[in-house]
Amino acid sequence: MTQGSESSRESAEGIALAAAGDVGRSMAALFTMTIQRYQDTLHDENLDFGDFILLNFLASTAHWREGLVEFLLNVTGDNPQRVVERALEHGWLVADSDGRLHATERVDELMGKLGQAAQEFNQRWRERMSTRFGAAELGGFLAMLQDVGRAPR
Amino acid sequence: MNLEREEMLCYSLGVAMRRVSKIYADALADHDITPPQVFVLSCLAEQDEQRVRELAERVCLDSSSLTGLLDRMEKSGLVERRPDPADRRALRIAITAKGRERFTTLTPVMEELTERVHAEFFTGYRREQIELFLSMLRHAQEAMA
Repeated sequence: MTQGSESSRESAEGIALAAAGDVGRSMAALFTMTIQRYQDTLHDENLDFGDFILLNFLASTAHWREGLVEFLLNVTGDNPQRVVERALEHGWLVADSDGRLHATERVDELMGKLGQAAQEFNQRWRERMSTRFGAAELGGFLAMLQDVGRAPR
Repeated sequence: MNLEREEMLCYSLGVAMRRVSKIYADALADHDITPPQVFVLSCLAEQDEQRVRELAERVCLDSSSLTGLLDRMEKSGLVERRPDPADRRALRIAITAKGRERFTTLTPVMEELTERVHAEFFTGYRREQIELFLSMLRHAQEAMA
């Protein structure tokens, strides 16, 4: 077995702790806890977290193929072609006569379910964190987290 | 849905984690080991001979996921399963000499990678901002556990 396929398999097993450094380890541990709150919904719909990210992207803006591929390469690091094929198979994307890809109503439907779980979790997270941190600190934390996600590579 | 995607903790955390993880995964592939395997080795190097359930809690995995990972690590000679002297039906996971040697070799690599992660993702932030961010990450784990 190659190292690459080994890595993929471990990811597929839900190993979110994919980094052993302090930042990565802390993020991974928190992420594992967080994603567990979505597991029922994700499992019912046969989705993984990569799908969740893709659905978020598809649900929020109109996309041409170029934008989607760029997003997948820069943000998720997934193989864009494979993800697009999966999205087409699941009916999350349709291609128009010019070959451009569009999100389907199914994406809105799925995001409605996941969005509700996300809102409930966010509310609980804010309530619990606010016993120790102020609104400005919570805002700063989220902004920094978003910066990490957007940092140029 | 009212929330913007980046306002969702789950989304922001997932994207950030993937980007950080990719740095570790790419670099460690050259050493023929995966980040989760290094994580397990580091836990066992700190405290050897752990029960699967204890180890699973420390590495934030369910037992079944950890079992597959341990199978592969045992095959590579990095860890071994030993009978638990306190419970004949149970096993403990131990790091082997090869596993310890591999972890020692990887320690400077991991330190270098952590420095790289800080340089790539936290440039422009003051030290106290980074410390607060890390402290909030840890507190969030406790708060949501």
